[in-house]
Amino acid sequence: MQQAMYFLEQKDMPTQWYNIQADLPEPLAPYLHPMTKKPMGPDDLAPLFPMALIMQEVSTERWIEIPEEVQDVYRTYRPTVLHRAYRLEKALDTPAKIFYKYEGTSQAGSHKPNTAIAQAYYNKKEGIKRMTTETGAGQWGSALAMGCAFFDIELKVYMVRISYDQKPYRRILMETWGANCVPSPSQDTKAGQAMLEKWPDCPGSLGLAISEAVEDAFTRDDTHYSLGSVLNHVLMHQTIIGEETRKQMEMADAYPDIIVGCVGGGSNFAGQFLPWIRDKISGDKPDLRVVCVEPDSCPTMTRGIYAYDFGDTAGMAPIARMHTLGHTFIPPPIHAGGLRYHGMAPIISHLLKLGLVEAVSAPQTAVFEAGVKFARTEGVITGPEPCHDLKVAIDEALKCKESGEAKTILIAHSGHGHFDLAAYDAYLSGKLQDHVLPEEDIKKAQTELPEIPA
Amino acid sequence: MIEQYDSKMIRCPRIGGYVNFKLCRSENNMLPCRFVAGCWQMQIDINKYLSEHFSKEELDKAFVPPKPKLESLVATMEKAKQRTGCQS
Repeated sequence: MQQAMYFLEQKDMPTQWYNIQADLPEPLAPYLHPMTKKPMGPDDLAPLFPMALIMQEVSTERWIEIPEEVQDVYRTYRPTVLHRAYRLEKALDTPAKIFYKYEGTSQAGSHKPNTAIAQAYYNKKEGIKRMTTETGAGQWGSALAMGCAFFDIELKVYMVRISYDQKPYRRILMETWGANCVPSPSQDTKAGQAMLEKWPDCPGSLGLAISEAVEDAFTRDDTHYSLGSVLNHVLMHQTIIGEETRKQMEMADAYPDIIVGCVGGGSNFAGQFLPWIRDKISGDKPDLRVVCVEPDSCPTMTRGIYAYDFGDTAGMAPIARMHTLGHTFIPPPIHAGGLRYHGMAPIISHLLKLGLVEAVSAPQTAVFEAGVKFARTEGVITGPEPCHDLKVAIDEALKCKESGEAKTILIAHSGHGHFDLAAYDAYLSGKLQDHVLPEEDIKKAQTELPEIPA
Repeated sequence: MIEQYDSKMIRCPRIGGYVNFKLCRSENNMLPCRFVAGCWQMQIDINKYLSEHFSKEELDKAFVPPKPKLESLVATMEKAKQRTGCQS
């Protein structure tokens, strides 16, 4: 019998998050405040986040205990299953062994509850009764709605109005979990009111929804704001994925030669690979390859440079070290995934700079082609973002076919695509197009980086 | 005429659904979305359109890439403080 699923007993679920900051060969560069150009402190963020999360953001402790209350909620869907993709291997006729850790079995359908639950818990513990966030299509909003439901916290989600009107299913998910989901712009904030005065039928934007959620939290003592990607503590909450996978790979008597995952805000893939990369840092597994996949249309890691860069063109946002294409870069957003971001999570940028991870890019049509192949072999309808993982995993498996090597490939699969079927429809009907950013566009953007005071 | 392409539809990868060009030319505080060039370059002569209907200053203001979220929140808080007069 071929064992295609590896189940971890609930009693064996990890009870600590792993903090890569303890093992980095060089520490992360600090965030710089836009006005003072000096490192930001906890007070700068205290109006929005609980102090426990702010402290986790800068902690260098290797292990952070997962509170019992959080573990209890995790156990409503964790440990998630590690799969061996035998049917995909057979279809590719490859000697490679392909595993995928699938986060699509959480109630919200993705990895996002791993941090949503933790954030709701820490806010509750600090006496916060209400939280706010923004959402576009509703993935993060629905995960946080579930997290807040578990800890009896009121949640207000500012959902971009056009999505609110056109895509009711995520909104209904949020409302079912008890969140108050309002279309943005709303009459509930000064930012929303100002926009509605100018444009009564405004369909909204993500930027405006963020402004509303932040204003709401900032102006109420009982309310905090929540963010589901990029930040160090968010990535750390996701490391339960990789810690579980280490145990499951041991059950399979396997160790990955290659780990692949998509990078947008970076939280899912970091959650998988950070617990493995400590073996590479320690020298135990120097040949381990960690491959970050990004879209051809926004090649932040594959063709970006490592430099200080303002967060906005006005130079108002703080400055952080990260891979960037420069702040005047305009990514052509004609891919269907949600990976468009000109600067990666600082931890991932840092690891790339240190040569501990590598990056490749993939065109969107090939990404969806891989998604369809996976659906027709393994049965899973994959979200647009993790389809990037599948594309590169398949490429690596085909290289093994050429070389005859039986490498072990581990895919960080962040979730299903049941609410993203329109993207599949666009692919299947031939509406998706590929775009590769011309080299001259990148060079032009890179000439405009700011000077940093010594 | 600035409305010439308003009825054309495209799938917006940020929003995750279909939108018309009117949204794309005005969603950024009444300026074009910063991604408008990449999205529409296959369908219309977007550079010509932008240069005909927006000043260089407006385009410089509009074409700001996504900000790193943590840092941009500080700036957003500052703006909220100014808007509301509230000191959290």
